[in-house]
Amino acid sequence: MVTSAATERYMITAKRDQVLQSLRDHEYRRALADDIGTGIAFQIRLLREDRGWTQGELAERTGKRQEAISQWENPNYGRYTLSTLKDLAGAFDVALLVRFAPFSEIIDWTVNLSAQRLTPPSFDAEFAADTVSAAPPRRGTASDSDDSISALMEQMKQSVAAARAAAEEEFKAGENQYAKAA
Amino acid sequence: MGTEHTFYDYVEDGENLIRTWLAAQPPPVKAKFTNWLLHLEATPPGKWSRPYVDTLTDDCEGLFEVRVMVSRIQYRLLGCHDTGDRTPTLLHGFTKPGNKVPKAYCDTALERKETVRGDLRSHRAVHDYS
Repeated sequence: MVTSAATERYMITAKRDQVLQSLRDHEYRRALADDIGTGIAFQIRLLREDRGWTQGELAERTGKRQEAISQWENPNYGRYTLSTLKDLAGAFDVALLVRFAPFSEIIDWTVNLSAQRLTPPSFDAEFAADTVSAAPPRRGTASDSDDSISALMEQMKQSVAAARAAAEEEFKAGENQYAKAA
Repeated sequence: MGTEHTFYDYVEDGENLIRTWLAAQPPPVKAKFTNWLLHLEATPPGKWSRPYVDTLTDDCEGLFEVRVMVSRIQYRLLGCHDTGDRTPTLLHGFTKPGNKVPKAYCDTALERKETVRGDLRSHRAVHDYS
């Protein structure tokens, strides 16, 4: 289904609120944090297909058997070792992040999933066309006073609230229009 | 580019039956379905295949199945794509061992599919991840 940018923003906001609500339950929160395997399995399959490899080819690149790759691509498997994940990251030439993080990061990751985010490029693909910028990193200036930052924050808050209201309205209008057409 | 799909749930008499079923499952099951469905929403249509989604045949023709295993118990959600558009709609959740989906469960899902097709507005709601 094709969705407009505003509808998609609304859906992401709704999902974020729903996931956050669920996470307020401690048992559920631990369960979601523990369920690392589901996302890993999806990523292995999507990354392998993105690289144009068969399971046999990925097996060769990781020094494992094809049956192992098949298991790793199953979201019900869930028994990955760090060693396995490092081998896979090496084969795909991507980074592997294993670290403690706030739940807000899990929320942001899960509600903003996309095929693109699930299939990070290899180092060479990512930096093939990279050119080093001559411009130095932007530093704070005298105009970045506390007052101007506060004003900017307030403007941003108002913009976000307005965008959310507009997106909600557009989504509801779309739903009504679709229901009438159906 | 964001999500490829948005899941919808079956609604009957104003009650989201998929949400009700998921809420009654142990937290690890609910969490796994949340992760699974969110990843499916981000997966391009052509890549919906086993073991992520199983397309059913015979008595269950027209349905797909998402099968989650937690503590050696299989938790299943049946759904379909063709309720009037290509939006995947979740129709029935149940727990049942074995590989084959019992006909009775498919019959329930197929009946619900027809109900949704007859009145999208009353019998379908965007999947609730809370």
